[in-house]
Amino acid sequence: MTPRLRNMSDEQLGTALGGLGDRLAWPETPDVAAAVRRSIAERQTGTDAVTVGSRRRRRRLVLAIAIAVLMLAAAATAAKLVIDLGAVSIRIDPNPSTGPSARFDPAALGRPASLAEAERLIGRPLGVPVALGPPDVLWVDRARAYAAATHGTPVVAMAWAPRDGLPPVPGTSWGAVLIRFEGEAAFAQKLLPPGGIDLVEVFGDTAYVIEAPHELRLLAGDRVRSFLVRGNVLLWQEGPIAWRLETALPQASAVRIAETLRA
Amino acid sequence: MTHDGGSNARPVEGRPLDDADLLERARGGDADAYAELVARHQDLAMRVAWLITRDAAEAEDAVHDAFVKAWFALPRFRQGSPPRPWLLRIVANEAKNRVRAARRREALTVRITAASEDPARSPEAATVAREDAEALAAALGTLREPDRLVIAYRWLFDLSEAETAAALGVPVGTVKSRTSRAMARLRAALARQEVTG
Repeated sequence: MTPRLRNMSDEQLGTALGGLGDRLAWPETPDVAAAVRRSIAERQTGTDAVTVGSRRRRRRLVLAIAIAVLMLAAAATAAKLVIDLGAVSIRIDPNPSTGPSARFDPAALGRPASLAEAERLIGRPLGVPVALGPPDVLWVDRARAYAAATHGTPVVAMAWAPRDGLPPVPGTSWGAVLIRFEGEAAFAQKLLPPGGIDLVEVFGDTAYVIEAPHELRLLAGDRVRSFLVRGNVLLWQEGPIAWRLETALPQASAVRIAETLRA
Repeated sequence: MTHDGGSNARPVEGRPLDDADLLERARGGDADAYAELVARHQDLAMRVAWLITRDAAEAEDAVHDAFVKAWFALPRFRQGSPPRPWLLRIVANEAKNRVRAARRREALTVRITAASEDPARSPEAATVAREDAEALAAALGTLREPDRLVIAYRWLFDLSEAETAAALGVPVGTVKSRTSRAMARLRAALARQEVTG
């Protein structure tokens, strides 16, 4: 530290930092405004999908996720806005289809397994919300397309029976269902009309709440299945892992549960 | 860099549109108004994203995606709140999602140009000798991201405590304590430089 800096008060040091602002070698700012404007225009004219997520990251994964992308693409029509959460995406469509009638059953995701087996398959601690405790039932899925893109890491679904403070999710026999997706290959898509989604924060990062009935398209057992979801869904991402929590609770309660997730 | 958002505003009845006007128009579906709001804040957003990712390409992606997400989230914007901290919060969250632990980080360095060395350029710049500026930049680069961000908001980008609180999503009192702790860690980092030469 130079003597000048050493003798400065916090206020003086702050002033010195203020003078530093325009002298740092910041990267050049590209014309983000124009790119954002183009994305919005594309959305308004419906000429293309606007996908939120890393374009470079997706390019790197094209080969690895080819099977899954083709399967989901076949199930999808022209999108208006897609929010990319890695393995899970949310598609906002002004003209959603009438939707499926089959209610979502996490058992569709795979076969029952123990917590220890799931952790062995994913190769690390699973992560369970302390607020919910150990799951009553757990399933794992090792669909070929999913395994090909995630080097064998399965989707894991956990469910808890209803109890005090955990009312049943409409249309299901569960009080909470938590699904863990790993990787950046697209394996689940939520379809909903504009306005059906809210932004919250989980662990300080943006998360999404869907509280309206919506369609869930899911790659399960190597085929795309479509379900009607009537519970409140919270979606968030932690690095390469996307989490989906469905409950009948208000969003603040769901966020509190999510933030007790511990490996 | 424009922080107060006054440079590109379109006149309405002789008055330039402020951020709140633009945001209100954007909420009504005016994409041009939103693009103008983005243009006002893209420099600051890029700097915030880069301070977090320390990777120019990741920062650019983060800023683009954050502004698209913010457009989509406009119906949820709380009317009466200042738009800038709200936008920065979305940008910072997007940038944090893109941090890759193993990546090489670009260093914070001082840009040495004739203009930047001209003491007449700004009164603040005149108070910081080049040697001090380089020491501060290096020390700032060693801080953890939360410390770096609160110092950047308060001092480098000149946000008020209230704006910093909104951008970080914490109470004003927390900003005060975080700033104090971050400044102490900055001093410690500067002292380490003295030890290590």
